Amino acid sequence: MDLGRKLRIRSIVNLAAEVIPFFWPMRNFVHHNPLHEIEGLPFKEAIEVGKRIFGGRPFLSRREWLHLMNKGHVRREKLRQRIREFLEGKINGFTFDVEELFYRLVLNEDMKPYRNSYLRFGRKYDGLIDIFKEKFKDDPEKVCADLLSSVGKGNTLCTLLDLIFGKDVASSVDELMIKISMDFLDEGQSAVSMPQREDGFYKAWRNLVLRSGKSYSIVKDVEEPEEAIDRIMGSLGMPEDLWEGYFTLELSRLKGIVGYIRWRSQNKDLFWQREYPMDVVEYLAVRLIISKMLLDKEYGSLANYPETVKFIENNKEEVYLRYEYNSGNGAGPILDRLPDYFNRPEYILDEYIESKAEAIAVNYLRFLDEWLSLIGKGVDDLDTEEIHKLIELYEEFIKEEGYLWLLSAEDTFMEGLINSIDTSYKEEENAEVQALFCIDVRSERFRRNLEKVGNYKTFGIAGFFGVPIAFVELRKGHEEYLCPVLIKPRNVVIEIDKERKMEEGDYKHLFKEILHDLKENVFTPYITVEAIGFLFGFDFIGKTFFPLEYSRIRERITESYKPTDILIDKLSREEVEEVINHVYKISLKKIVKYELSLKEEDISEDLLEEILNVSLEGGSYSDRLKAHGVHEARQEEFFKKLRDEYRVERGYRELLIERLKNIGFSVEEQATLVGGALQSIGLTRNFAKLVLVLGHGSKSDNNPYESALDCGACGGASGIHNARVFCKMANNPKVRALLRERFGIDIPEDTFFLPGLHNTTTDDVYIYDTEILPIKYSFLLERVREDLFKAKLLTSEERYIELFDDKEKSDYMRIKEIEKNAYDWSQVRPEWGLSGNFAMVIGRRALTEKANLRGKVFLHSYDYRLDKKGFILENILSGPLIVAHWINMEHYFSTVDNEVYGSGSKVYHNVVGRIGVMTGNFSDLRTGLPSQTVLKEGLPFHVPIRLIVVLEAPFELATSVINRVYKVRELLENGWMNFILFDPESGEFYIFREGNWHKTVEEVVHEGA
Amino acid sequence: MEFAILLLIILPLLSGVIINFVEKYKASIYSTFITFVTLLLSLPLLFIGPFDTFSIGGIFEFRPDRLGLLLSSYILLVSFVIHKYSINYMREEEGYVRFFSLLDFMTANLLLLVLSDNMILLFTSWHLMGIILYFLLNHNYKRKEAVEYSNLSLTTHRLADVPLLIAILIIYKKLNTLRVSEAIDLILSDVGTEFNISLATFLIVLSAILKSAQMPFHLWLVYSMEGPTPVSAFMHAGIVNAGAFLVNRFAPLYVNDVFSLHLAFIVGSLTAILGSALMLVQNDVKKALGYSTVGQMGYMIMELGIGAFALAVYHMMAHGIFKATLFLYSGNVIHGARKDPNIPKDEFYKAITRGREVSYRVPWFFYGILTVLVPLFIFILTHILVEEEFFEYKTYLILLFFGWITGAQVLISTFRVGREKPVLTGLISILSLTVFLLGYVVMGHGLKVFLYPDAEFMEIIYLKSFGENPLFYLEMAFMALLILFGWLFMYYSSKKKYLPLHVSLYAHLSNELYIPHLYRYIKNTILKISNRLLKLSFAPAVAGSFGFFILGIDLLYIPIILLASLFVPIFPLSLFTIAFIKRMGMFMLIVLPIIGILLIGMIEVPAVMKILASITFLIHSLRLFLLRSIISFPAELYSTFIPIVWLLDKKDLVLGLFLAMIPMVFFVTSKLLERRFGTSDLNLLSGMIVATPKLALMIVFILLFSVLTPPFASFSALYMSMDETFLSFMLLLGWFISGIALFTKLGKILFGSKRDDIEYKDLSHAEMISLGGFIAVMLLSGVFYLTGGM
Repeated sequence: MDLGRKLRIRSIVNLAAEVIPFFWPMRNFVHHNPLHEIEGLPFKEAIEVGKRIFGGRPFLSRREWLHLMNKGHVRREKLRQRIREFLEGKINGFTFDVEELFYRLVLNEDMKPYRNSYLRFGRKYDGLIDIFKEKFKDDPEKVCADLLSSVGKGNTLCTLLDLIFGKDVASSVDELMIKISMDFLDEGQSAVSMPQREDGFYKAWRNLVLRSGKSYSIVKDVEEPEEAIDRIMGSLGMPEDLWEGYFTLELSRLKGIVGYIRWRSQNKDLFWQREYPMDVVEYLAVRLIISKMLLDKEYGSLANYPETVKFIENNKEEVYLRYEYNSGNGAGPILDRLPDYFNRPEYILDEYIESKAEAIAVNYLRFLDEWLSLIGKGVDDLDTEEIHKLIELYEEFIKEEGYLWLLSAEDTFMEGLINSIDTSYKEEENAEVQALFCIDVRSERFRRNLEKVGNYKTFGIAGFFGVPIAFVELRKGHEEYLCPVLIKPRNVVIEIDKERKMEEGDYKHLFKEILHDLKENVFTPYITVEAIGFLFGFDFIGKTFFPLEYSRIRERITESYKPTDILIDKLSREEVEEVINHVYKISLKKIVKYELSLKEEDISEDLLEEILNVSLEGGSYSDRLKAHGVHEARQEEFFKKLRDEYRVERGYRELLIERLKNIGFSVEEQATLVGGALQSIGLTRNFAKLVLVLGHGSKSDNNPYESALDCGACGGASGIHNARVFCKMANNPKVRALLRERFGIDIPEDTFFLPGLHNTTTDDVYIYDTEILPIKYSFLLERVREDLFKAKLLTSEERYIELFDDKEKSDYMRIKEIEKNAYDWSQVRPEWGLSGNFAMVIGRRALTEKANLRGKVFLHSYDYRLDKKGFILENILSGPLIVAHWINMEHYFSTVDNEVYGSGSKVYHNVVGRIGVMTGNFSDLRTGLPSQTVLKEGLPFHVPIRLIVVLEAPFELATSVINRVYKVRELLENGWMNFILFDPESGEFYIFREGNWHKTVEEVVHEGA
Repeated sequence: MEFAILLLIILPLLSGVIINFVEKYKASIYSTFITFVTLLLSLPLLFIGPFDTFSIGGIFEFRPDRLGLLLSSYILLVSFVIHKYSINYMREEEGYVRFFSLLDFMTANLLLLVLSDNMILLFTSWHLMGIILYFLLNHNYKRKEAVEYSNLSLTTHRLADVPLLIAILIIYKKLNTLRVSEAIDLILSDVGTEFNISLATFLIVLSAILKSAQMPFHLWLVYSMEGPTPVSAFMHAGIVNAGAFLVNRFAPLYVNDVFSLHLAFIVGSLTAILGSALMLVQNDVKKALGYSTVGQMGYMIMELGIGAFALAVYHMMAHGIFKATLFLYSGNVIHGARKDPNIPKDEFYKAITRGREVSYRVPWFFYGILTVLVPLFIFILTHILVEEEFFEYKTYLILLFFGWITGAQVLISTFRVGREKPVLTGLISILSLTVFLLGYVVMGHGLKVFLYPDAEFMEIIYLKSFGENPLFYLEMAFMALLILFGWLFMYYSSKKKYLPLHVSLYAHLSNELYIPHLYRYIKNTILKISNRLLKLSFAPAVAGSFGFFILGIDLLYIPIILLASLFVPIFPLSLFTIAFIKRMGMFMLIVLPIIGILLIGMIEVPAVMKILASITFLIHSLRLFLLRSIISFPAELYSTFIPIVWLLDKKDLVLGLFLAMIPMVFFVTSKLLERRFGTSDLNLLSGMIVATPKLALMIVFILLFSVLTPPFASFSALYMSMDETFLSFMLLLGWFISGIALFTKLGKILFGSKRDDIEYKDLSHAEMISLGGFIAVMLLSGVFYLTGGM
C-alpha cells in the first residue's frame, strides 16, 4: 500500500475520532467536558451533535425539572418569563391565554401525547379525527429515503440493517471489541496477559485470530491496519465521502474505550503505551473487520452498501413495515400483525398507515383536550385552524422546553448569587492566621466556618499552589504528575525517609504477595481457601458491622506511618557526585560482603572508596582487596561482575548524575513560583505569623471513584505533596530574599508557612512539618488546631444534613456517621464531592465573606489592584477557570443523561483492566460520574446548569483580558458558560448575553418580579 | 423445639412479605433485624441439636440434623452480612424494598432446602432457588444484557432440577418413601443387597454438578455479574455451592453407588483446572472472581468424588466467606491501582533510593528440598498428627498432591520476596506453612467428626470412591495429564518469549474455550426448530391425522380417539384445536377438556397414544419460544399441557381442569393488556416491573402457577410412566422447555426500559385482589391436590 494512501486513511480516521473525548484511567479521575472536542460549536448545536453521535439526552426531563423546582432551584416566575419570551410574536390569532396554557403545561409532568394504540376514547372526537389523521400519515417513500440518507450520519450499514430487521448485530460487534480491546489494554488485572502486545494492537490481535480458527479471511494477507480499513470499506462499497462520518459512528459506539485509546496514544511517556502501543487506526481496522464478518454472516449479500440501497429502493413497502415494527416507531392497533405481511406488504400497507395515523390522532386530541382543560377549555371550543396552529406551536415548544428550563434555572441561580455578593468595599483587616485553600467548592464551606470561629483570613488558589511537580513517593519508583492535566511538569521532587535510611526489602507485604501468588495459580487456590478462607471472615464481619473501629485497628496493624522529607532543591555538581558516591558505597558494602565473603568489620571506608574508583576507572585490581586476601584472578572476575551486573561503571554513573541533576528547583525557580502564586491571590503584604497551606484529599473505601473526590488540580491526587513543596519553598530564606528583591513581596522573618491536608470526607485537617516552628508558636498552633476542629464540627453538621436527610441525631453521632463514611465499604456515597457546583467567583474574599454558598461555588482569590496589565487574570482565566468549567460540564452531562454521559449505578460496576469500570458482565468503559454522585434516588441532586462566573475587576481591564484569552472568549460566545462582571470602581454588574455585555440590574435581578 | 426450627424458615419468609408494606428505609432495617434474630435463634439450636425428624402434615416434613443446622447458621450469617451491607450499598437503587424482599425469600428458601426431609419439599426449594435468583439477577431490569443472562441462569438451574426430579421418583419407586431419613434408614439397614438405586445417586450427583457451575455448565455463573454486587456475593457464598449440600444430604445412599463418584471426580477435577486457567486470562475483576469460583466448585465436586464429603462442606463454607468478601470488596481494585500502578520501578530511582540489590543465588538442590520435600513432609506430618488412618485410603493422594503444590508455592513466593535474609525467611515460612496446614487439617477433620460421627460409614464411602478399582489408575493418569497441562500453561505464561503453543493456548482460553459459542449454537438451533414447527399449518395436520390409521390402533377405537385427540389435543390434530380455540374464545378452554376427558375415559388408551401425547407436549413447548403475542398463548398452552391427560391412568377430571387453568389465566392476562395498551405483543411492551408493579406481580404469579404446577402435574404423569424411558424423557424435556419459554417470553414485558411514549396504567386495587387471589388459590389447591395424591 503506498504511503500517500496510508496517510490519507490515517488522517480520515484521526479526524473522525476527534469528536470522542479523552478518557483518563480511573486512578487519576479527571473531570472534563464530555463534549470537549466540539466546544467550538455553540452549546445548543453541540448538544444536538452529542445526541446524534452518542445518543445522549441534552437536558433534564420535565419531571426532573419539576423536582428541582419543588426544591426551590428554579423559580416559577423565571420560568414564566422565559415562556413569555419564547411565545413572543407567536400568539397572534389565538382566542385564549396561550402563555397561561403553556405555563400550565410545563407544570404537569406526564402531560403529553402518548402513542398507546387504544381507540376507546376515539368516539368523543369523531369529526376531528378524520381531519387530523391526515397530518400523521406516513409516507413509506419518505421513510425509506430518510433511512438511506442516514448512512454515515446517524447509521452505519450495520445499525441500519439492524433497525430494519430487528436484530442487534452492532451489539455483538461491540461485545467482541470490548473483550479484545480490554485484553490488550489490561494493566495487570489478568495474571496471564495477551501475548505479543509489544507488536501493537492490530498485529497482536491478528496473531491470535489466525490461531483461533475463526473465519477472518481478510486478516491472512493484510498486515497493516490502514490497508485493512481500505479493503473493508472497499468491500462494503462505501463511497469515500461518507467515510469520515461513518468512522465517527463506528468509533463512538464505544466512546470510553476509544477515548482511552486516544488519551493513551497521546501520552508517549506512559509505560503501557510505550511498551504496548495502540492507536485509533488499529482499533478501527479490527472493528471494521469484525463488523464485516458478522454482517456477512447475518445479512449475506445485503452486507454491502450498494446492495442495501438497491434492496431498500426496490422494497420500500416491506422495508417500511419492517422498520415500523422493529424500530419502536410504529403505533396503532394492528401493529402486532405486521410481521405476517412482511412478504406481502401491499395487503396491509394502507390499512396500517390509516390505523396508525388514527391512533396517533386520537391520542393527540385526547392530550389537547386534557391540556386545554387546564384553562377551562376543550378541543371543541377551538376551530380546526386554531388546533392546527396550537399543535404546531406545541411541537416547536417541545423542542425548546429543556432549554427554557435551563435558562430559568440559570436565571434563578444568578439572581441568588448576585444578591448574596457584598458590593460595599472594605479595607482588609490584619488576620492572626492566613490560610490558603484550593478553589474547590468544598473549601468554601470549611473556609466560611473557619473564619467564623476565629480571626482567620482565607484565600482560594488552584490546589497545586502553582507548583507543578513530578513526584516520586517513598517506595514508589516512578513519577506521578501532581498538577492540572493541562500542564506537564518539568521538575521532579523525591520523597525520602526522614531518617535518611536507604530503603530495604518490604516485608510488610509478604503475606499479601504470597496470597496473590497462591490465588493466581491453577492448583493452589483450593487448599489455600480451605486453610485461610475463614480468615476473611474478619473482614467480612468487621468491615460490615464495625467499619470505623475495625478499619482503624486494621490500619494500625498493617500500615506504618513513616515521617518523610522531600528533596526540592537542585543540587550542585559536587553535591550530586557526593550523593552518587554515597549510594554506590552503600551498595558496594553489601556486594563485597556477599560476593567476597568479607566480614563487616573488615570493610573500611577506604576499601570501598578504592574499589569504587578502580571499578569506575575500568581497572581490575585493588591493593587493599589484595591485602584482604582476594587474589588477582578472583579480583578480575569480581570487577567484571561489578561493572556488568551491578553497573558500577562510568557510563552508568554519568547517567545517574544527569538524572539527579534534573531533580528539584533552583532558587530562582522557587522564588518565581512562590511569588507568582502569592500575587495571583493578592497576598503580598500583611502576612500573618502563620500561613496555612492546605491541600485537600479524600478518604473512602471500596470506591473506584475515590480519585474523583481528590484534588483535580493535582491530577486527581491528594494535594498534600504540593502544599509541602510550596511551604518548603516559601520558608526558605534565600527564596524570601529573592521575593523581596524581584517581586517586592516582603515576608517577615516570623511568618511561617505550614502545609496541611484537608480531608474532605471527614473534614479533618492534618498539619504537617510542624517541627520547623519555633517553640513559642506552640500555643498558637494548639489554638489553630482547636479552631480547625471547631470548623470541622460546623462543616460536618452542614454536610450531615445534606448526606443523610436527617437532623435528629446528636453531634457526636453525626460526626461518627460522617467519619464512618470514610471507612464503610458498603458506602456508595462517602461524600457529595463537587456535586452541586454552579459558579466560580474570582475576586477578593470580601465579596462573598458574608454569604453562605453551601459549598457549591469555586472561589479564586484575585486582587485586580495588583494586576494592572491583566497578566494574572489571564492565567486565572486560562487555567483554573477552564478546570472549573470542565468540572461543571462533567456534572452537567452526568446529570442530564447518567447512562450515556455518566457511568450509571456503582452497584453494577465491575473494575476492568485496573483502568476503569464496566457495568455488569461487559460494557464500554464507563465515563463520567456515577449516579450516586449526581442523583439522589434517581432524581437530580446536582442542578445541571452552565457555570456562572463572577469576576471582580474593572470593566475595561476584564473585557480586554477576556478578549485576549481565546479559549474563554470562545466558550463565552458559544454559550458554554455564563459570565458576570462586577466592576468595583463603579459598583455595576455586567452580564454577557448574546455576544454583548449588558448592565445586569434590569437583566437579572428585577426581571419578572 | 420443632417450633423453633420452623421459625428459622418462617421468620425470613414473613419478613419478605411484610417489608413490602412499610416505608422504604424501615423495610431494610426490619429485614436485616429479622435476619439477625433468626441467626441468633439458629446458634443455640446448632449446639443443642441435632433433633429428630418431624412432620407437621402433608409434605411438610423436616430433618434438623447436624448438617442442616450447621448450614442454617452459615446461611443466616452470610445473609445477615449481605443484608447489612446492602442497606447502604443499595440505598439509591430502584426496587430497594423488592431487593430486600427477594433476599429474604432466598434466605427462607435456602433454609427450607437444608432443613427439609420430604423430597418433594426438597425439590421445591431446589427449584425455587433458580427462580428467586432469576429475579435477583434481573434487578438491573433496564439492561438487556441483564435479562439475557438471567435467562441463561434460569435455564441452567432448571436443567439441574431435572435429574433430581427423576432421582426422587426412582427412590420413591424403589423404596416407597418420600422421606430422606426413611430412605437412608432403609438403605443402611440392608446394605447392598436388595435395593439398587445407583441410578438415583448418579442423578443426584448430576444435579449437584449442574447446579454447581461445573464445566461446561458454568457459563451462567461467570456471566451473572449483571446482578448487584451483594447478589453476586450471596450467590457465590450460598447458592452455587448447594451441590455439596445435596450430595451430603443423601450421603448414606452412596454406599451402593457405582459410577457417580467417579463422574464427580472427573468433572470436578477438570473444572478445577480449566476454571482456574480461565480465571487467569480474565481482564475484569468480577468475571475473574466468577471463574475462580468455577474452579473452586470444581475442587469441591472433586472432593465429593473422592469421598471426602465433610471436607466438601467445609470447603463450601470457607470458600463462601472468602469469595463473598472478595466480591463485596471488588471496588477496591482501583485503590490498589492508585497505590501500585503495576509498572516496573524506574532503574534510576531504585538505584538512588535502595542502592543496587545483591542477587543471592540459591543452590538448586536447596530449592529442590524447599519445594519438594519440605512441603510434602509438613503436609503428611500434619495429617498424621490429626488422623492416624491417613495412608489407608488412596483418595488422600489427590489431596496430598494439591497440598504439596500449595506448600511449594508458599515457599517459592516467600523466597522471592525475602531473598535477602534466606535463613530467617526459610524458618518463618516453614513455621507458618506448618501452622497453615495444621489449621486446615484440624478444621477439616473436626467437621468430618461433627457431621459423620460414624467412622465406619465414612470408610465404606472412601472404599466406594476409590477402593480397589481399576478406574482409579485411569483417573490418576487423567489427573497427571491435567497437571501437565497446567504446569505447561503456567510455565509459558511467565516467559517473556512467546512460543506458538502459548499463543494458541491464549487464543483458545481468551475465547473461553468456545463454550459461549457452543451455547449460542444450541440456542439458535432450538430457535430454528421452533420456527420450523411454528410454520406448520393445516396441510401437514390433515396429512398427519391420516397417520393414525397406520399406528395399529384397534379400528373400533379410531373414531373416538380421533375425536378425543381434537379435544385433548394430539399433534398434528392439535393444530386444528389451536385454530378452533382462537376462533371460539375462552369458553372453549373449559368445555374442551371436560368433553375430551370424558371421551378418553370411554376407551382403553393404547400405548402409542401416550407416546404421541408426550411428543405433543414437547412440540408445543418448543413452539412457545417464538410466539409474539400473549394473545396467541392460551391456545398454544392448551395444546402443550392438556395432552398430559392422556398419560394419567385415572382420567382425572380435576387434574385436567387444573391444567386447563393455565391457558385460561393467560387468556385473561392478554385481554387485560390489550385493554390497557392496545396490544399484547411481547416486542412492543416492556418495563412493567416498575411501570405497573401490581400487574407485573400478577404476571409473576401466573408464571409460578404455570411452571410450578406442571412439575407436579407432569410429576404424576412422570411417575406413572417411569418404566417407559422414552415417555419420561419426553415429558421432562417438555417440562423443561415450556418453563424456560414462558419465563423468557414474559420476561420481555416485565423487564426492559419503560417506554416513554406509552401511558402505563396499573391494576386497580380491586382488580389486583380478585385476580391475584384467584391465582393464589389455584396455585395452592393445585399443589395440595397433587401432593396429597402422592
